[in-house]
Amino acid sequence: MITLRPNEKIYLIKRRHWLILMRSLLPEFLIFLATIILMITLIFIPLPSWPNWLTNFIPSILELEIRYLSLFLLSLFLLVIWTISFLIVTNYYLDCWIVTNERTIHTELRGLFSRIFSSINHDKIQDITIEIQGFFPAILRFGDLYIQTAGEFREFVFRQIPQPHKTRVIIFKAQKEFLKRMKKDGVL
Amino acid sequence: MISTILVLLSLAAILFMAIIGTVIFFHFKRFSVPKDPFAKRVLNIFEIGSLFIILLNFVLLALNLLKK
Repeated sequence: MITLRPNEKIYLIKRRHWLILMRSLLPEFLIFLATIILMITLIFIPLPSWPNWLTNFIPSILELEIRYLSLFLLSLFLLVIWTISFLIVTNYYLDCWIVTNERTIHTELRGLFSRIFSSINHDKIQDITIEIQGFFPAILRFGDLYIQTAGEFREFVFRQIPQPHKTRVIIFKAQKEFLKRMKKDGVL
Repeated sequence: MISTILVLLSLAAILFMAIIGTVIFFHFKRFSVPKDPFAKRVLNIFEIGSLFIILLNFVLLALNLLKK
């Protein structure tokens, strides 16, 4: 679990637009659906017996029924596709940007065992720019949001997030509150 | 011989799912956002779906072995 500082409150959690997830999951979904349709079809259609070349090659295959063996192999394939789909969902879900009352956090899963975690305090933010490029991003209102910072990270990017304009407003509001609090505490 | 291959195939697929599943659970436990209700829901869907497919896999394996 991401640990927040004491008195840190989450204002906003942003992930990439759902269309990005759908686009990544589409091949897996279609393969999954096709496999299920094939399995249902295999239950009902009459099947030929084993081909001769296969029975010559593996004689013991004659002990098995072609229908049940095909269904079994397809169910194994289904399990693999299901697992890969959830890897994609995990990758999407845990790649997120969190705006709190003190900082902006980005966590990203890179591969199975590598993870990037970065954060910038609101007092380091210099400017925020938004880039919306392409037909679908323009219609569905999603795009990239760039935070220019004064710190060691020159740029902090929210990629393909929905409603980037609203996000910018929330970050600026959080920054304003944070600076006010710092001034009050005598840090600034 | 062929039965052993089928059982081994089944075990290999389940092992693959178990390894990836453990990694997914680990990532969700370690890196999800505090008090996120959707994380639990996503994991539940994964868990139930995986159990269902493994069960289907066992049934079909049993059918193959029984029909011999």
